[in-house]
Amino acid sequence: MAPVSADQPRPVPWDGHGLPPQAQLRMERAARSKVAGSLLSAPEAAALAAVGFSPVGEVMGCIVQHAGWAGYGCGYAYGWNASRTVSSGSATSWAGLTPYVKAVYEGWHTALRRLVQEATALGADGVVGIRLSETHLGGSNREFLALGTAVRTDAATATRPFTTDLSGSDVSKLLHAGWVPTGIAIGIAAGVRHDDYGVRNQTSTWGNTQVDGYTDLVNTVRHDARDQFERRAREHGGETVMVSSMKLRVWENEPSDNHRDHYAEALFIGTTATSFHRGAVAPTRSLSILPLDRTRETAS
Amino acid sequence: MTIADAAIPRDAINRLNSMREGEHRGLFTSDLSVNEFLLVREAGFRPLGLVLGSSVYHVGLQLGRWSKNQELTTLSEAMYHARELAMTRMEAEADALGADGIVGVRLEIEFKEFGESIAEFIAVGTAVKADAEHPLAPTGHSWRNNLGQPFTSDLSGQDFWTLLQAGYAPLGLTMGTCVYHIAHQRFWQALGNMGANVEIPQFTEALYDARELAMGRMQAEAERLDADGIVGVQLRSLPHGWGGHTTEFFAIGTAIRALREDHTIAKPTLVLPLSD
Repeated sequence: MAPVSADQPRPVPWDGHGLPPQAQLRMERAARSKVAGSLLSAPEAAALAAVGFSPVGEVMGCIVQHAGWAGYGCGYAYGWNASRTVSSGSATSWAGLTPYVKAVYEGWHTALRRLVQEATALGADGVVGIRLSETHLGGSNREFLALGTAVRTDAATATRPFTTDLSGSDVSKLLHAGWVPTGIAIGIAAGVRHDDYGVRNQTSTWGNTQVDGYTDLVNTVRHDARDQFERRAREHGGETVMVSSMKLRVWENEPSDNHRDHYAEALFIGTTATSFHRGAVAPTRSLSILPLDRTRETAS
Repeated sequence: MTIADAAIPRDAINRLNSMREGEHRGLFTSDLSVNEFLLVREAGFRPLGLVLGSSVYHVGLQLGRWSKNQELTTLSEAMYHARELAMTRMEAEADALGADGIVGVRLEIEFKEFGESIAEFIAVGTAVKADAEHPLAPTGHSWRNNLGQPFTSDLSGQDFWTLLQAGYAPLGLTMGTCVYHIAHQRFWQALGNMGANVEIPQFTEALYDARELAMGRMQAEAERLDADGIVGVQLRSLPHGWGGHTTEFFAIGTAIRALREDHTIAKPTLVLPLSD
């Protein structure tokens, strides 16, 4: 079978707005078709069917983003532990890796936006089980990819599809307990700190000591990322955010002789949810079972 | 320990204060799974926020005598002190949120590729607060432990629920560590063992010594909390790249106490699962 049927028009070159033509064609065809694809496992599909969700198709969003220029400055100051961490959240718009963080966030945001565009084209109410991944393509180019399954309810339709990286079974459990996922929140921050005299001294001793400079760097960057994360989660109007991924990367850079800086980048990803009932107890109570076999406990 | 002593960045304090109840009734974060989140709610606790503490630590240098069984106290102290720093910062965050406790605590160590013997010690968990009229609330004292700190526990949301159902409450994460250098065999000794199936008493003794020290220290922490016992104890051997003969023996568990003298443990019901 030919990949594209003969009666379909040839895709025109993409102007960079909306969905790429090939994706647009696939969505139009999928919306007409009675066959709905999904990335769900059988238990997930069954769990979603139990709360009235049926899959309408698998959806994708991706972007290749160039994140080259990082900004300048390393927070250098003369003296013992006098340097400070310059973090993307606290710095001016050019310093402390702010341009880099903006580019990376733009990457994730655009991938998710395109995924939602595909879901909207299919008339979906939500996208579940979203997997977010990034691939380094060499140079400073990175691909950001979001893949998920668009679902529709039998009941009232939402104005804008929700997104979640929780599995179908988890979404079903949440709905049973009176919570509904509202969206994916992402928080990114990066920071740089000059290795000052204090850091050099604390890392070259024979004794035990906390390295204050590095501790300051990782703490500041992580707090900054959590700050961004919560701000974005609030925009979704959620009451709770369930963090699914929490990463921190530290690396060093030596721009010139006797000048060394350390960089840190933190990433938080999670799903916001809001409760649709008021009251202390969930509308449906689950049956709690205490399994007595140790094997399952040790496996998890 | 207040926030100011724990060296938490200024921005973080502002953020935590804005999450405090009353001033902003809104969003809370947690790294609980969906199952854990729902069970913690069902246990009558509300997650307040993700709490985290971190310390980047330079672990000192100490070498064991080649043929001597000995604890490397400098390294033991480093591994304990750095974890303690991370935990204290996490607890200070929970305290700022007005939490009763922290569940699902994870302690992680990551040796960094830059710099010799530099590691980041991280403590992460979810701060929780009991509902105002909690049916299991301990009479006469709060959910916090006898040091006035929020309780900490490395138990999952599932275990937390089960523990409360059985009438126990967590008090604190207790740990003990011992970095031990196990002696090399002397030449004649090794020659004597060759081709024979025998116990090597000095190795056995070394492993005993190290584990007993770690577990004893954990026990002492639990006694300080006035605990009834410690559950979920794990005894780990962590090599950390100090060579084959130097290993960290690390004991960690959650100290608990009974909520009431007359608590009863529900009899389990038999369930035949249909999955294999």
